[in-house]
Amino acid sequence: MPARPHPLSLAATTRRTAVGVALAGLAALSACDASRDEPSAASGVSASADPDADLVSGLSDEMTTLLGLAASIEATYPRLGPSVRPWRELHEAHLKVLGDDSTPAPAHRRRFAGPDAALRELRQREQRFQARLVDASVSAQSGPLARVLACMSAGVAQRLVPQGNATQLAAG
Amino acid sequence: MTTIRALQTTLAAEHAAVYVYGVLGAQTSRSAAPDLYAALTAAYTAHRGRRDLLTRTIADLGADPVAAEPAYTVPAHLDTGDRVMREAATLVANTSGVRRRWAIMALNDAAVRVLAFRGAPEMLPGADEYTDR
Repeated sequence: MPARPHPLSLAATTRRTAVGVALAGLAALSACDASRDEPSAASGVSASADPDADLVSGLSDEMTTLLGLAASIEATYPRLGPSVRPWRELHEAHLKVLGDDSTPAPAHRRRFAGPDAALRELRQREQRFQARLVDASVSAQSGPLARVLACMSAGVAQRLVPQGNATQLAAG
Repeated sequence: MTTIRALQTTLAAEHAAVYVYGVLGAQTSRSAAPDLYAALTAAYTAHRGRRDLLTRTIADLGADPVAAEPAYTVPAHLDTGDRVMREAATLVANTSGVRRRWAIMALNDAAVRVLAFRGAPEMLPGADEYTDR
């Protein structure tokens, strides 16, 4: 059972506001780190300055698009639900962490070249998005935001690994 | 946290990982459990490479790289990768540019590698505060 995220406590009404609140939350997280003994090159999030707002907003849009694609695949090929649902859950969780709790658009059936092609398209777009998260983490002005985006990229990277490949650890 | 301190804690985690994967690899039969042996060997090699690079990086910055402990407790449940992910994620927050990208790649590599032993993907590997475990 995949772990579930603790959503940030938000009272956001718009995506832009939500992003600002999320960044403020990340700033608070950073401020709570008593071991931070000097500002790093990447530390310090200021919700008022909001240097990463556009970055986060763009990522939220991309996640929402991927959510829509996954929902369309599931609506078109219900039997692919078990393959597609983990991606939806992942992006929904990540959107919550970024403070975007907007309701996703309803899923519509879409024309794909077939179920295999639909899954292939989803996987290719997830691969591109994983690289995008890495780049976004590198470019983030805020260290705490960079950390969260890096962890999101790791979460996507894990999902891209074919499941059922775990080896049995039998030490000793 | 300073960049040096984040590098040092990441190095400490890599020291532990090298030790633990080395011990486990030595106790695993290459013929009886080839997949496990290969996964452990790959993990050992990857962590040793990162340990060496971190050691050089810290020395290049003028600090003394933290030394390995004489021995580490081998955990009943292999959570060595979790520690590496946590420290790599912290390193991401405390670096920029090339070093940050390296830390992200280390985090991604560790996240994928732990799947070989545990099998269950997470929502945010390396960011424990957001997840129930």
